[in-house]
Amino acid sequence: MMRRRLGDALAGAILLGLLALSIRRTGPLPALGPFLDPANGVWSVARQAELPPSADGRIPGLRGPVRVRYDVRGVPHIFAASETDAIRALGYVVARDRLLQMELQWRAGAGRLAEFAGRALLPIDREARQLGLADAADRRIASLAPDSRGRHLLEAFSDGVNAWIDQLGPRDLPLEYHLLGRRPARWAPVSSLYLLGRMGWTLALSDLEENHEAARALVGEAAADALYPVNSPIQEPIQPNGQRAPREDFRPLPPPGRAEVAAGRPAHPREHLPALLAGLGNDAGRSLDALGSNNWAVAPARTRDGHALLAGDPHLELSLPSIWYEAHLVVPDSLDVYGVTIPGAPGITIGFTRDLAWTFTNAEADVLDRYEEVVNDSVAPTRYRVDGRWRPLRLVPQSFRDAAGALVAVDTMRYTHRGPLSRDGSGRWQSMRWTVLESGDELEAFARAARARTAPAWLDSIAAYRAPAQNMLVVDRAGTIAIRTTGRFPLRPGSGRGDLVQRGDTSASDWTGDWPVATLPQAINPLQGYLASANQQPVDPRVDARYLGANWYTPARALRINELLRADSAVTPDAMRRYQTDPGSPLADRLVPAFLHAARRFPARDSLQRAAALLAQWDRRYTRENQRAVLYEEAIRQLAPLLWDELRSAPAGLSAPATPGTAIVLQLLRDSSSRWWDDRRTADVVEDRDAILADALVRALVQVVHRHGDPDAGGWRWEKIRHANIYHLLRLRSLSALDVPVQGGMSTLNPSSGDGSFGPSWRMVVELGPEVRGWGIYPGGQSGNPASSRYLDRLDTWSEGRLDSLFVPKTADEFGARSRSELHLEPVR
Amino acid sequence: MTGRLAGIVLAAALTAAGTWLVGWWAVIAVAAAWQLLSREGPAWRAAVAAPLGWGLLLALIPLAPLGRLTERLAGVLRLPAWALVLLVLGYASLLGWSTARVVGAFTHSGVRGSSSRR
Repeated sequence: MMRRRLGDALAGAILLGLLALSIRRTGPLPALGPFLDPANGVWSVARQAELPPSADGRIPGLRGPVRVRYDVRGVPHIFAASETDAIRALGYVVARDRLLQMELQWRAGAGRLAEFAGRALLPIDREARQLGLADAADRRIASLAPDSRGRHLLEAFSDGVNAWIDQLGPRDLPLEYHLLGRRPARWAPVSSLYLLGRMGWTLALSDLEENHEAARALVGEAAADALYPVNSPIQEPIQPNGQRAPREDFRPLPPPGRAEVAAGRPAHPREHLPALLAGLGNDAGRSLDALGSNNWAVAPARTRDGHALLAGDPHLELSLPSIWYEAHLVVPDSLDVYGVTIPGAPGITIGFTRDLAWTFTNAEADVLDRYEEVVNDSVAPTRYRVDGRWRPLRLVPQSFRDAAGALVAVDTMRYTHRGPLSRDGSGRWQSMRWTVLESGDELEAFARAARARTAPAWLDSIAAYRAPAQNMLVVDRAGTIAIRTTGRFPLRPGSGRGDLVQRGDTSASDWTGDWPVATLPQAINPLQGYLASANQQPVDPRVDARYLGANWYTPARALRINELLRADSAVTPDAMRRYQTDPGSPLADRLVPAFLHAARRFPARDSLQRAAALLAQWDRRYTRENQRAVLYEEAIRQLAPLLWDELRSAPAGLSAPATPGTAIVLQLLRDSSSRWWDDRRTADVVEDRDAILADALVRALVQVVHRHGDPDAGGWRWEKIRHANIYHLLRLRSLSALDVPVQGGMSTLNPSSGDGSFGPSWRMVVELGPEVRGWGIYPGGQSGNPASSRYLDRLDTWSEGRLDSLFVPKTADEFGARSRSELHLEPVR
Repeated sequence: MTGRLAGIVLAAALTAAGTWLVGWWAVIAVAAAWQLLSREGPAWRAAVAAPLGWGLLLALIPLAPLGRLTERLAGVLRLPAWALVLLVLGYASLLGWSTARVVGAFTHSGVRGSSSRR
């Protein structure tokens, strides 16, 4: 009897324990009951993994039936009777495949991640709010006229997303909602604007002022200006400058000067971002060489088949699911556009129609200025002074809640007439003016552009686009190729420079206007027969010396694209594809000889001679099988601290400045005895160029042997070393694609550096012949469901540098064997 | 023997159907109801029927996505894939058994209580 009672008591305890675990979260564990439930819990994710052969849905507001046919690649082709119906359907199908991603992205832009995933994300939320992104989006939507096309598009998209969300039962939720124990929030029209603001954060948040201040504090004004110059010393501009080769404008670098006292440390949001979520403001692993993008176009005269060709290749953070979603929208006699959209945006971002194709690279222009303000209270100011008068600050209370809805923090955002005001660590108050916070009607511009029939008409349609500024490349069926650096570029008073902190107490510091569209860097049908951009300085300062930015990317990718296109007068679509993963490196072509030359100066150093011999074996191509790129890359890595020792220490109240660009190193190579070469840590020796290069090379060999073994033992193969790492949005490793081998490296057209989490996000080639033909690929797949065959199905193709042929039907009846699934959407009656 | 087996199969089917319709609580409901109806039947029958019912639901999921999900979810939870499946079935089993045992104990004491009053 006693034994039985003990057994009963044990069963009771187990039952109570199980019930406790079953109905509520315990630490990171979701509530076990609803989670493990094989019908309604996490296992239902597998049931929803594949598209059914046929499905039906209803969307409020739909004016007529919409037919959606998915092709074998999982791309939805939406056939609707009106543009707004097509956008409603787009919202529905994107939510069907990418709901979690959409929710994370809008929350990241709105500063409301903690409400979804817990208070650990509070720092990211604070950053988003401090940047003013949510406030800007709220004001933007309030300013849209009720009958404006932009508002109609936002509302139509929202209708579609919510139609999907509203019919979701527990067994329809994406995996991550089960893990987090959350339900999706409904979509609001402003959610799309939050998300687009988030893109502005990624693409247009610069730190030029902070960098310049830190450098000036360490090495003086003249040196700071030279290390982070307004004009790139290598000119291969986007707007052709009439030269048939890059123009090098190398000048002697002024020696490190006396440190200047810095007033304090400007606030910079990025340094506070915790490494919590990929793609949500975390810049860990971000490398300048892997960010940025490429695009180029070739006029019919230089293509084999006589049709204009376009290649697009935006480089962004790689994530699973991908930042892009492929879709095709067809409205008879009105719209027929194929391309990729950012999940959450009501339209196609990059793509093509039957008449033209377009793509972007980031302009990297300076569209953010900081102003040091005089305020009435150093702790909680309510006013700021301009031209001797106090003006009231606009105060916007902020509250932050956790996933349980509890209030976890409050704050007050302050705004001057310029933008958000924040205080840095040394107590200075700075306001920020940023074009991203004053964006225009980009959605309407995109919608109009998708209906354009010619490249010039497309450029006219998109002229209202303001931020984030892009190098917009377009080609049409008539053979026109055109590019324009499009966006809002401020006109500044005085020197016009925006890379220095400005005085806030005078209105004379304020922007005086914007560059007129007609004066933006641009070109149409240039004599050279092609156009290319890769985030380089867009216009040669000899052509137009106005300030557009500073500390530009070293134009390595631009050099290589131009080199390839100059050499090929019969370009084919396949050549365009090959160029996208071309392994050549113009920087290695310039730097390897410098290392080898340095080694010859010290013939008695055995380790140096061995390293040089190994480096000389490299063909300077980042092919997967090469076994010497690793030595070169390590030598470059070792060179930085030896060469830039003057910049290593952070002055009081400042963070250390960024490593100067490779173009500056190339500039310095011309001056073998520049004082920059001296390593000041060796007090009794004055090193010159060759001594430092030799030292870097020897150190590199030691490091590479230590990490990867002997040179010919196989461990130096590039494919074993250089990988893309494509993380799931929640950084869950088992849902990520890690250690994916790639062809490419630092500064190649297929860039890969840092931790490999940035890179080519959507490669596209389009031929504008009698019938448009398109090819494309992104890493990942259309579905955000990790149980789906469409989650990772494109990864191998992407990794190998191949492209999928894109199916672009004119009608819903052309599919044949290409049909994978069909969705019928009807209005709610 | 055949009757017991049929009872287990029936309970498993009810667990599966109940889970499909109302969720994981069905395991508790079926185990408790079965125990009440069969009075002093051993609780292990519920410990077998519940995972059978849930296993049936898992078996109805298409194999390829189920395999992908199991592998990736096990990675998230830092478990081997087999342990994840075992966890699901073990959870159902333990929930069914403990429910049946507790209900059995109350039923038993209730019967005895009624007897003593007489």
